[in-house]
Amino acid sequence: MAMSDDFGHIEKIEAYLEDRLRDDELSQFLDQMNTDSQLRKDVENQRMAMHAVESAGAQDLKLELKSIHKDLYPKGGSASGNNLKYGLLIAGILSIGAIGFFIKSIDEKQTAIPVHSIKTEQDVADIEKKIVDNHIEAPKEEKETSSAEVVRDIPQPIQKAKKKEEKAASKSKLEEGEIIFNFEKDGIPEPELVLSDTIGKAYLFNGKHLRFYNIDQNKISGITYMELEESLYLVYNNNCFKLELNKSPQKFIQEKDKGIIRYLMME
Amino acid sequence: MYKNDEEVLLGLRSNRQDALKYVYKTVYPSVLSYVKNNSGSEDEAQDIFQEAMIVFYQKATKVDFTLSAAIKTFVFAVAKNLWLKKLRDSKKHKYIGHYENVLSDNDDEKELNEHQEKVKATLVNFLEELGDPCRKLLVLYYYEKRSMEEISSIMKYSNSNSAKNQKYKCLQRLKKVVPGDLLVNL
Repeated sequence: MAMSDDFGHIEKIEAYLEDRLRDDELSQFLDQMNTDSQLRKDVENQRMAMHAVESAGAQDLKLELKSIHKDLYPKGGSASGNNLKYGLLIAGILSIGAIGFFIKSIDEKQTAIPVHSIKTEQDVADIEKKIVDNHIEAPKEEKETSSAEVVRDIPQPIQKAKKKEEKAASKSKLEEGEIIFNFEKDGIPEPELVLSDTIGKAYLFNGKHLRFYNIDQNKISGITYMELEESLYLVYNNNCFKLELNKSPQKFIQEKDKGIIRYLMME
Repeated sequence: MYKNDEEVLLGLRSNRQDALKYVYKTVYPSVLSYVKNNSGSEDEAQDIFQEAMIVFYQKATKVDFTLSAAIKTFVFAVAKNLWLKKLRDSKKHKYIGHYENVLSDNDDEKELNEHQEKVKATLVNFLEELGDPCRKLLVLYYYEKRSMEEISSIMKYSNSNSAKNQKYKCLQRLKKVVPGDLLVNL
C-alpha cells in the first residue's frame, strides 16, 4: 500500500475510533470490518498506539499539574489561605480550655479507665469491682445480663459512626495520644482520643462520647457510643458488635487468634 | 487575565500552562475544602483535583467540545464525583464482613484497575522507546489534539505536509513495537 493510501486508511480508522464517522460511513466501515480480518487487526493496532500516546500525554499533564501546584502553593503554604490559619489558631486556643475541662471531667468521674494487658477472667472481675468502687451511677432500670450481638444489618446510626471512623482512619498522620475535635454538636467540641493500639486494653465508659482508633489503617478498629440509641458499638476485624446500655455493667468478650481477648465494658 | 471561560478554552490551546494555572487557582480551593470536609486529606484533595483537571483537559481539547456549564462548576463536579467514588471504594474495603457480595465485585474491580494500570504503564514504555521527536509529535497530535499546522509550527517543520509525513512514520514505528493483542496477553 502506498503512503498516500495508507494516510487515508489510517485517517479512516482514526475517525472510527474517535467517533467522527457519519452514520453512513460508520455503517460501511462496520460492514467492512466484519469481512476484513486485516482491517480488524489494523484497527486494534491503531487503538493500542493511540492508547499508548494518550497514556503518555496524561502522564505529562499530571507532572505539569504537580509543578503548577508547587508554584501556586509552595511547601508550607496552603490553598485555604491565612484566614483559615488564624481561625485554626483561635480555635486551638479555645480548644485548650475544652481539653482542660474534659480531662478534669475524666479525673472526677473516672469515666474512662484504661486497663492494660487483660488476660484472665480475674482481671475482668477486678475491673468490674473498680466500676462499683468508683461509684459510677447505677442504671435506673433493673440490671440484666446481655451479651454482645453481632450486627449483620448495620443500622443507620452505625453508618454515621463509621463515616466518622473512616474520617479518622484516613488521617495518615495521627499520633498516639492526639486528641481530635469534632465540632458537630452545637459547636461544642467533642474530644476523641487516638491510640495506636487498643488490643489488650479495656475501657470503662460512662461518658457521652468516646472513641478509639487504631492508627494502622489495615486493622481499623474503633468503638463508638451512640447517645441517641444509648448503645455502644464496637467495630473490629470487620465485625460490628452492639452493646446495650442500662443492662448492667456489661462485658463483652471476643476471642480472636487464640488468646487475644478484647474486653470492653461499659455502664 | 481571562475575561471568560471561552478565553480559558482558547488559552488551553495557545498557552496551556497559563490556562491550567488559572483554572487550578480558581477551582482548587473549593475542591480542597470539599475533600477535607468529607474525610479527606490535603494530599488526597490534590490528587483528586489533578485527576479532575486531566478529565477536563481531555474533554476541553476535543474538537466538538461545547461548554455546557462554567469551567469551575464542571471541574468541581468531576472532582466531587471522583472523591465520592473513592470514598465508596474504600468503604467497601473496610466493611467486607458485612457485604460479602460487594467484596467479590470490589475485588474484580480492583483486579481490573490493576490490570489497566499495568497495560497503561506498558504502553507508556513503548512510547518512551521511540524517544523524541516522535513521542512529542504523537502526544501533540493524539493527546493535545493539535492540528498539523500547529504541530509544524511547534516542531519547526517546514509545513503541515512534512509534519503529517513525520507523524505517519512515527506511528508506524510505534505500531511495530506495540503488539495489537497487548490487552489479551497482559
